[in-house]
Amino acid sequence: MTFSERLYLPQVIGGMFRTLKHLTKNLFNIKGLPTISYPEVKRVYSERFRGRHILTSREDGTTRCVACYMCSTACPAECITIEAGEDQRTREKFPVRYDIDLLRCVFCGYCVDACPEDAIYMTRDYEMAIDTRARAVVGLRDLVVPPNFPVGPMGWRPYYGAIEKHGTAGGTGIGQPLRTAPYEDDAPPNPDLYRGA
Amino acid sequence: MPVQKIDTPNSIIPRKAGVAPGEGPEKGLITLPGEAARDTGDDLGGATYLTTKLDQVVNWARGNSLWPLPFGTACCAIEFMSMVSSHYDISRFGAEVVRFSPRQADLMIVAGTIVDKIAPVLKTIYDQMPEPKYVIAMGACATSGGFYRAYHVVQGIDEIVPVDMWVPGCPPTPDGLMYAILKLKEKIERGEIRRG
Amino acid sequence: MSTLTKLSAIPYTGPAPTNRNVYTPTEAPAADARGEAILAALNLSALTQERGQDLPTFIVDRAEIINVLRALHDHASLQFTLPLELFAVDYPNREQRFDVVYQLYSLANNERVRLKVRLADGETLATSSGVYQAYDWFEREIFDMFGIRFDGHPNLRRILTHENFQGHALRKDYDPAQRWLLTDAGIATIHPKIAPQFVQEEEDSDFERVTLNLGPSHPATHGTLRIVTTLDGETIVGADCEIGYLHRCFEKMSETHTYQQVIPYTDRLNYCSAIINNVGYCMTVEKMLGVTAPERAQHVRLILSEFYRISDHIICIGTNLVDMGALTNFWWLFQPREEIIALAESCSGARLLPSYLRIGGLAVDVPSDFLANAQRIVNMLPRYIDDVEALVMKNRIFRDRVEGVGVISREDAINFGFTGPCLRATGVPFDVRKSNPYLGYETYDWDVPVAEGGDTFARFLVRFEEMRQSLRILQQAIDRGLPPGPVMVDNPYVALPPKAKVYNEMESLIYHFKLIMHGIQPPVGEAYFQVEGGNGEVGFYIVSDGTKHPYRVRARPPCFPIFEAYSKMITGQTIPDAIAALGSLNIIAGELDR
Repeated sequence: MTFSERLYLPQVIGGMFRTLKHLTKNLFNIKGLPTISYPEVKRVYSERFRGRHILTSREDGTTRCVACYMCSTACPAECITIEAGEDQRTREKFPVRYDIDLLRCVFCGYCVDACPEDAIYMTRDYEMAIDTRARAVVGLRDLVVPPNFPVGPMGWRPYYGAIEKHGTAGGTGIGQPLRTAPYEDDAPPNPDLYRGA
Repeated sequence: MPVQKIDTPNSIIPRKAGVAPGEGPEKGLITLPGEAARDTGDDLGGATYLTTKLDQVVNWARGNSLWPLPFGTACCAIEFMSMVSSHYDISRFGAEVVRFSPRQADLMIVAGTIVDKIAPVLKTIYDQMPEPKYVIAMGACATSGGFYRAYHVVQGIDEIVPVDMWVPGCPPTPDGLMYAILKLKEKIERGEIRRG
Repeated sequence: MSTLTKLSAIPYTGPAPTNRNVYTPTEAPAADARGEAILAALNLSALTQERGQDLPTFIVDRAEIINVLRALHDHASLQFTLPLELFAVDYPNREQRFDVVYQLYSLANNERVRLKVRLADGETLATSSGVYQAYDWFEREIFDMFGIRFDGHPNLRRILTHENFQGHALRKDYDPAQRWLLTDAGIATIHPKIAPQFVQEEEDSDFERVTLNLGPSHPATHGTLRIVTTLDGETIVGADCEIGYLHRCFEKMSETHTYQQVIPYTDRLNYCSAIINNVGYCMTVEKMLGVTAPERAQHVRLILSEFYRISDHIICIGTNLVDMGALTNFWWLFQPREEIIALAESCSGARLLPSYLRIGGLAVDVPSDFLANAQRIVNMLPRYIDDVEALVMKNRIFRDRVEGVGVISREDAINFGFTGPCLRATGVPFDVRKSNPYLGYETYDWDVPVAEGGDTFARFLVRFEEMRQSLRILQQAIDRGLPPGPVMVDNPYVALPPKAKVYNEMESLIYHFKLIMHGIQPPVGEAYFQVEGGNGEVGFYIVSDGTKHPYRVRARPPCFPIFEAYSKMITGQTIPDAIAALGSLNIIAGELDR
């Protein structure tokens, strides 16, 4: 240690100065403060954010899920429970029951990667706190969204390639660059769809 | 709804102006069960007026001075640190006084996996907290064991202590946890949680 | 008894689809040749060489293990002085069902060696904690997990699981979900052994000796460490550490999940630098599969690894200074960390634990503004680091608290199996990125920071300088730009086909189904691969039996031997010194207890 370092005071005062410098700089630059005044101001997470799940719908309003059990197989937390049924008219499989235990879920996005039908997406919704454990198990009623569900709140969804089969509803479109800026088409989702049962 | 972009020259983190809780589309989210039937206290007679008002004042005070005890064991504790630090800054809600002594804390935030070996410790610390006390289970492991369906992991801390708020996520974002604290605060101020 | 329902593995009742090919590492010829040379140099009859492995491998007679270890340690030219690994693998169908595996590293020759001892159930093994002090705890872990006893071990009791635990969890016949409850009565009382230099002094002392328990719920122990100290006045005369308060059964869970599903688990080992664990695990499996991630993916892996290394050091320095009462640095340091996390979130969608890597590449390509954002963070970081350094590094209040505190000598550090910044703080320039380069670290211009002294201050110096060196690597990586091309290998047995193909082509859909249902199946064999984590060498040892589940995944925890030496480091010092030293070691419970 040098002599001035030995003396305690010069370094202590120097440190004080540095802290004061930050304080005054921030006092005159309130807008540049790093603090996000949640909930008045919200941080915009990226378009890939892995939040709460949704099940997308076809144009006619039926759910795209065909109950193939791929998501529940790929899930490391085993938090997805599916029961398959058969549509008597179209002979097509569909989920009679589709439950996600949000408390078990680790939000790894493997279900989205595993889905061959473009049916399960994740949203940018992170405000999920619940006051009863039973409400954490969300079923079809909470998960299925209508076909016109806006793109804005959507998060992690298939990016391995463009979504051609189903059009761009919910997809990013071919060759369209990903956005990290705040989204303008920020139509809020229907709160009823988001509310736990 | 027009979105106001906020320029952040020194940061890569985008942000936007939201709306105050209970004003915008989040209203549906924050609404708690039983809210419609909530007794507003307007129809009470003069004799109970004072005590009701006193209750309200006490609840208001309790809701605005939640001193957290972070029972942080794992990854969620790092996100708890993020919530306390400057970017999210929980002190705006009177909850910045992080107390590691259970005797001085109101709110236990269980952040991280609770395994069988530490379960008696959690119970002891919960017992040592003075009433009124509240518990937030943060993250998949604390709430349900998460993807550790394993021989040494407690499958949800409600095996050991009562829980007031569950926060899904692995780990939840700091704002997700903040949302839980705000929701708990609202609940306390309404007098829906009565302890002590 | 627990009431947990049994929900362990994914129920798959059909015939197990298996890959019957045998794994032959590309390094095998070189390793075999080197093995022969080592065999000739040692001239011991107890060794048999096992060929076709990725490291020089020997099978050692049970009775001779101590002699062999001592010979390797003391040999004039070989100098295998650094103990890296000691673990076991259970093969219940074999007559000698256990493999106890030792892995040693030679700092002088930059080479590794693997020793295997085969044991039947009930057979014991002599303790090697006399040769390598690090193996004390490693042997306790093997006893805890497999029930193998070590003769002559000073303190052979359970280490990770609790006192009421029955059975040995990593044996193949143990049910992964079988829990045992710990009651208050079951908690053992720990009496720390008094260090030899203080044994005589008891009569002379003016104070009555008291036992002080720190943790597991204590602000300075970060939630999950327990230190029992015996105090003579203010001096610590004996200390004992208890771990296992975050034993999340990573290794057992890996055995019940598929190779891809293990990636989120590896995130949660060292949760401060999750990406680095992902890199280590994915590269081990890629090594077994014989695939290499595309250049673009490797470049992104390197950039994110370095960012997460900085984030790891930021958390270590920030919380360590908070423990010592300097709160301002914590606020200052966490702001750039938030930016780093925002960058990872824009790639992967999750903040702290990205699970961004996949075996064979990345989950998805990076966003278009990735490099621009990375450059902005690289530009802003030095300012924060300088601020903190200027506040504390010349301040005598801080210097007095850290200089000469928590000292470990170079010999002890090597003997205890230290790696990473803690070893470099004792003057040993061992860094996996230099000694066994991966991801192209050898093509970058950077230095390994080394400090002398081995005290808390030296560890601070190393961590600060390492952040600067990481920034140097990052600047070069950003200047080179991202190589064009895919981020995932073009191999339908490893990578999921592009979604557009899955929706439209039958063949891709079949591959997609097959990969999800049957998983990745590496060839039968074993492999070890190491990367430089935030705390030291993070290695993964994977045994594959050709099915979709790993037969055994062993993660080398760098914290484990470091924390083992902690009680030795603080003996003779005071409690505040112990707190300052503990923070500087950066013990991350997630990888300590796994």
